[in-house]
Amino acid sequence: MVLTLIFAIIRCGFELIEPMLSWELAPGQTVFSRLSFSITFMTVMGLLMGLINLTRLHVNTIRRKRENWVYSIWLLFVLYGYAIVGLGWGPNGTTFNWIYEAVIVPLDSTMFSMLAFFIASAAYRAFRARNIEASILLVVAFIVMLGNVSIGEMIWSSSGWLGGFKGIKDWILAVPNVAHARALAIGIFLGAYAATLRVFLGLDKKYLGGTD
Amino acid sequence: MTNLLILAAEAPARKWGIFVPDDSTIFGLFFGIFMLILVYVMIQRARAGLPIPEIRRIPGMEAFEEAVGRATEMGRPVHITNYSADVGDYDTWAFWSYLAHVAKLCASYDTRIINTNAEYLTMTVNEEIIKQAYLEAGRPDAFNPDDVRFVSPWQFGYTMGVAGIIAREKPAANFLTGYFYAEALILAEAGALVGAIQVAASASTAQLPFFIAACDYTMIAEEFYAGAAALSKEPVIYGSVVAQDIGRVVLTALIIVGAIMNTFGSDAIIRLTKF
Amino acid sequence: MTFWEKFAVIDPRWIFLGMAVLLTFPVLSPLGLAITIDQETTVPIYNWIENLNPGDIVFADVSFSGGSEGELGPQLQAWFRHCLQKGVKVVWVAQWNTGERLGYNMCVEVTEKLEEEGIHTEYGVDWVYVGWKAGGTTMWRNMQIDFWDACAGTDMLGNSFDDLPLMERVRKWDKETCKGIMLFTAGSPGVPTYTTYFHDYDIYLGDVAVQVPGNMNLLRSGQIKGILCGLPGAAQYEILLEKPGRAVKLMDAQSLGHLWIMVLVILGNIGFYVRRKSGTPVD
Repeated sequence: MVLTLIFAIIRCGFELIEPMLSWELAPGQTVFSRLSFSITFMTVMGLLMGLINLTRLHVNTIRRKRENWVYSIWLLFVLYGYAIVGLGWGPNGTTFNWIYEAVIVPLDSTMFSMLAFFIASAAYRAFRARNIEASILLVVAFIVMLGNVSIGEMIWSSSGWLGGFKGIKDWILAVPNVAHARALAIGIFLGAYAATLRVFLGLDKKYLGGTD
Repeated sequence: MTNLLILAAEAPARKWGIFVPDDSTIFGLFFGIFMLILVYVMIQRARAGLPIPEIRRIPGMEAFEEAVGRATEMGRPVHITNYSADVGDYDTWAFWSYLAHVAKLCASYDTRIINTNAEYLTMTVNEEIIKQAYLEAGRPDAFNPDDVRFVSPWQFGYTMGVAGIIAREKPAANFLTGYFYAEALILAEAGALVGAIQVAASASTAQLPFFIAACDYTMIAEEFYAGAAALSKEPVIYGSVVAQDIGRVVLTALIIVGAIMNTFGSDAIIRLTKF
Repeated sequence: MTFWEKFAVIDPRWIFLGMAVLLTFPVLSPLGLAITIDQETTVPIYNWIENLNPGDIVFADVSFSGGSEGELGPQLQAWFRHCLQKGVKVVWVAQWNTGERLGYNMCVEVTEKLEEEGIHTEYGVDWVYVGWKAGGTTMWRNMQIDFWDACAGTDMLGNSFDDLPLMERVRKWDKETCKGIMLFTAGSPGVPTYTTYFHDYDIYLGDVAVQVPGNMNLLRSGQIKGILCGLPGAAQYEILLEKPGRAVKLMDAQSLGHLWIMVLVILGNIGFYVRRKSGTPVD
């Protein structure tokens, strides 16, 4: 507990006394640049360990011919193949960029676009007027959806009474929504602060792998 | 040295000589010290056996045991995950409380637990927590290290991997505890499609509406942190939750007083909080 | 089960199929539904660029990756086009390394389209893409003090700042140099970097629709001056520029998608109430 407090105080010290970061350790090397390098280095080492774990898992799957072991071969081929292309020809190389633009970006967009389908099924299941709160949720959801799209404008124009669906949607976003967002932000800050203090004061030792 | 002097001359004057001239630095410092003292006092009161206010029941907390029990009856595994799980992140620290609780339940009921990860360093801690839980339950051989999986640090690689794991393993209980981004709804729907009972606990405000729509139980924002404390069942940790609540009362009072004063033309409270 | 009761338990596959059809159809055959310009969120961003003088420098940040490209890509391209047309110089940075290359490619697309229209722009003179630099928010704070040193004097492509004429004017990221910041964000790191450390700058946001409610309080409090709200924001900006593009085309699809969700919810509720009335167990 004493050690965590000492480290916390040192960390706070770094935040408060900022010029310390600009101290030059050697020509062209400040405390900040060395710290940044060490953080980047640790992140990359973490990635390397993840790579080792993934390889171990899938090599075991292939060796023991578990279910879907063929996909593990494909995974390892893509994993190491792309890494070799990047290391060999550099991140600005044509092939590396082409794979990024032709494969990764469309895959990313595809996964993100699944949200459109899933929100439809989630909304269908969740928006049932079982009680008053659910009914209010349903009505507000309708108003906000209609306020966002052209069809809402066609049904009730924003130049009409109350600004149409758009006007009501803007009010909902500007007043009740902002109130809840601020309240949640304060609550989250305090909760996170208390959670952080529990670790700093040594009350919570789960980072050591315990269950208490 | 000359460079430092030039930079110092160019920069705006520091508050009280050392604090950076940004808004709320000194107010933030004093509020932080106030919270630190409050937490310490509440913890000492709890240790001394003095009365401290009770924490209300958080509805989502009982759902953990109910969900693991259901998974045990159905003979299907339990899945628990946290996407944004940097080791130095307080969301991860709170997630570990839920992981330890679920791991202990699974170990005592001899139910398989699958933990998927997007961060390797956190995965090593998660593995230790789950292994320890099985050890304490007297079933060290039941622990399967292959069930603690590193999937991908890339958001949608992780999402695809976890959705695939859920579709193949068909867990009966799906716990989404921690900080999530766009993958939240995809993971929740993947769980809903296999008929899993789903409990979400997150401080990610943008994703809470999706969790509420797709999950059976949702613990919102600070309930996630308070629940993490409540799981330990130690009075000293309750003390930190009580301190957090008192801090909230103080902030609320400050907001109300500040709003009233500002309405009547005085911005003293605003200048105080921005100092 | 009666006809109406079936609507309470529609198979999700029919929901997905209906959504797929309604999203695809308007892309192939646009309906041309009207789009209203939002005066509180979109117009301030447009007016900001309109009121700048040729040669003014603004900073822009790419804080998203491929998943949000559908919403933020059109926003970025419309806004960047506006800047180049006005002669406003743009320095790009990226808080997300996964979006770095994506943002650059989208900028290049804009310059190529402008070239076809006879508007010539030059990299290093009209815009510079510094890209992602390791170090997080500490790096961004150091950029305020000495931009060249913080970025190690090179852009994303490896060009030295000495060879880029625009960078001669960008020694520090301060209010003298920077006439505003445009942030295209889909998550973290994102808005807090600027509202915390650049709070006295004019900050404008290009945001994914799901985060707009959470960031609305920043607009109300004046911490940010305008937001482009998802795809509708991009479509509105394209209309303000009188260059309707991808966003305007996709708005029809979004409208029909919302309509499908509303129809499903209505049918689901009808089925729910019919089942409840008939005494069938409901969830």
